Amino acid sequence: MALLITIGQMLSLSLWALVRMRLGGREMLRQVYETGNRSLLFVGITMAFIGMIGVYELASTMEAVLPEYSTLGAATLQGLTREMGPIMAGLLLATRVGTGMAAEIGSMQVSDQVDAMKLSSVDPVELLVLPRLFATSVASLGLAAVGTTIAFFSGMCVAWLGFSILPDTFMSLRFVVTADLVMGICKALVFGFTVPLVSCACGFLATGGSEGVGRATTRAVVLSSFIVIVEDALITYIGEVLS
Amino acid sequence: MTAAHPVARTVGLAKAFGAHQVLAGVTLELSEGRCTFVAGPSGTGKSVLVRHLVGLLKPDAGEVWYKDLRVDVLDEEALLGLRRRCVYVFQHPTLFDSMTVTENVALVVKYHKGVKAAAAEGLARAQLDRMGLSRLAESRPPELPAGEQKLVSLARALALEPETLILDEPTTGLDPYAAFEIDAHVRRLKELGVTLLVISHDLQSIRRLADEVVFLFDRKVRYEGGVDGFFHSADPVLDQFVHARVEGEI
Amino acid sequence: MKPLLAGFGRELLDSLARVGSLNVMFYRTLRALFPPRYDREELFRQLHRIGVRSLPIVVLTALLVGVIMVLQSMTYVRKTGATGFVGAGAGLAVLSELGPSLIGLMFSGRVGANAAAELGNMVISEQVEALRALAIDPIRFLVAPRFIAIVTSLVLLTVVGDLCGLVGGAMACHWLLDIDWRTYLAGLMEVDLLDDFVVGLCKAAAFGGVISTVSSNYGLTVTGGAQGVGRAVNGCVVTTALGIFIADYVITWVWFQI
Repeated sequence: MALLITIGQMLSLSLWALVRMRLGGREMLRQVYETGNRSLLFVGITMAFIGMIGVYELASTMEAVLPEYSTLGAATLQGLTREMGPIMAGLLLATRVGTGMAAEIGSMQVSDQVDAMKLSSVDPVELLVLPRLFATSVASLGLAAVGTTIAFFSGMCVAWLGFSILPDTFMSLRFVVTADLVMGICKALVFGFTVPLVSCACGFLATGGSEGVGRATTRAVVLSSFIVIVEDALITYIGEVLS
Repeated sequence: MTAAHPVARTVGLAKAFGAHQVLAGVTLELSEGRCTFVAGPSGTGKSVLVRHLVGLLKPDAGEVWYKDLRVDVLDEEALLGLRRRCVYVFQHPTLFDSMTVTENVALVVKYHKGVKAAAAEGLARAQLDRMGLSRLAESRPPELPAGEQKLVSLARALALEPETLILDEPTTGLDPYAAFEIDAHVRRLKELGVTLLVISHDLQSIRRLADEVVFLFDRKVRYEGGVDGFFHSADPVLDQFVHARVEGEI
Repeated sequence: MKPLLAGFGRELLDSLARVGSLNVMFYRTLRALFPPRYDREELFRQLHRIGVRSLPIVVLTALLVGVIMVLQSMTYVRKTGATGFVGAGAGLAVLSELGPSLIGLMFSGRVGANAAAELGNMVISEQVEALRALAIDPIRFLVAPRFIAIVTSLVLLTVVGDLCGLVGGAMACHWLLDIDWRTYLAGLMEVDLLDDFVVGLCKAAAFGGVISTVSSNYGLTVTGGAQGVGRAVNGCVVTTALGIFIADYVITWVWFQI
């Protein structure tokens, strides 16, 4: 409950700051660079494996159901754009960036640094949360795009080496329509916005020394991952209704 | 001066942490059944020295022996056997916060004697009883004052029935009465013939209990010998330490 | 460019060192499992703490994964008009792939991160050193029961999760897509799901091993106080996620080779 209140407060404050355009551009750029750069290697490697797994599974299923692979690449790309790219990027962001934020803010909270900020009339939300919030949204979009591309190409390698499907056949945009792209972008943006929101809130609610920071971190991963999955289901459903 | 049977000894022990040289060529012998005190100003590597004796640290150079066993080359598994006979008690109580006092002691019993949980608790209670700590049996460590936590960690170590016991600053930070109580237990162990090594700069404890004193200063052994010699040394460093003078090398 | 390359190189070296120490940890855990000398009470306590209390989050995750997969497979179903395929597609994806890996990810956040934080706190308060000084092997005492509890719980939770995923799919069909759940069920029955179920459980067991090994390793190698614990938890979830997908790929590959 306290968590919901904190999230609500942070959300309204950030939207208000957005309206007043009180975003430090420099700080935000630095955060985008930090978040993106720190996660790029991790997201890249993981997404490469996800692409390989996905194509393996899909190709084997296709082999059994309809014994030809002409739609494999197109279906992979569509699945990655609509679903796997954004959700995996979101989950990886939750583990990589969310834990970091919760640990960072949590240890500031338990060492009374957050209260010190309030006493010197600096709003901790404006100083700590806002730049992260918008930076992560941008970074999430970038990571989802890069991740999807990497997954597609690693999948292509598996199709080529494992199932003898030529890259020419695999590389096909036939299935992907604007709606898929819009859905993917929406998901990435929403995930990028909620992961830091939830994680920072968990950090602010940390109590009780280093164990408290550990608990806050754990809570941040679980909650933000879970919310990513919930949002994914919601957005997918909305897309389904609209089409 | 040292007896015929050194129980544990180090030869030319050297240890550095990064660029910081803590020990440089320390040679130390523990005689069987004697109570040896290691004293020295804070930060002279007393704890670092004794941690080598049970293999918690590996030396950069030199040898560590326990009876006929060369300690510094043993692997973790072989060290477990040694640590059952020669127990090291930390300066901080290091009790497990989530368990009661009895469970803390029973853990050691259960693990080493291969008995069932209920039997282990019985043995643990008996151990606490012997040390006059039955009143603490159901408490949890964080609720206890520092002196009682230290007594419990001593009880936990004694549950192993060690032949050699190493105590790291057992009385530091305690009120005089709690320190006296710890010293009383140490004296009883001494009478039972347990070989003892105590790190301490508590001069009263040294007067009360020590058979031998080893004084560490500036990475080396500065003094090694009897208690009288320690308190009446002509060495200016020892004199400064014993009489708590402000001016001097320390 | 130069700091970027230097950073990359440093990260690469660190990763290699970490891979080595993870393997050592895994080997030592396995050694500690034989001969089986578990503390049964401790094991049950861990099973309850790890398994039972992760149930709600696993059930919810699995339900949603079922819903998402049914919604996603609708895109293809609409193209081909084969409504019956919706069950088969979603079922395969949930049982063999998404069920185990997403449940594994959630479980790693809930349990792995927790174990790393717990062990890390024991390290910085010298409790692990104290265990060693009392001649108690920390691997046997702290890591082995967790390993068994984590692997067992994750396999059992995956069984429950698979079921919930399929139920979630049926609910999505019924309420969100106006497809009779019996059509979904019939589609499900048409394909042979046993293989996928089994490979899913194999994956879950492997993920459990990854989660336990990584979290114990990060927890026991904490240095540098409370901040070190934070870093360890962070590193632990990241490495676990990576490990889960690598293990996933290897098992998928091996499975299709047979």
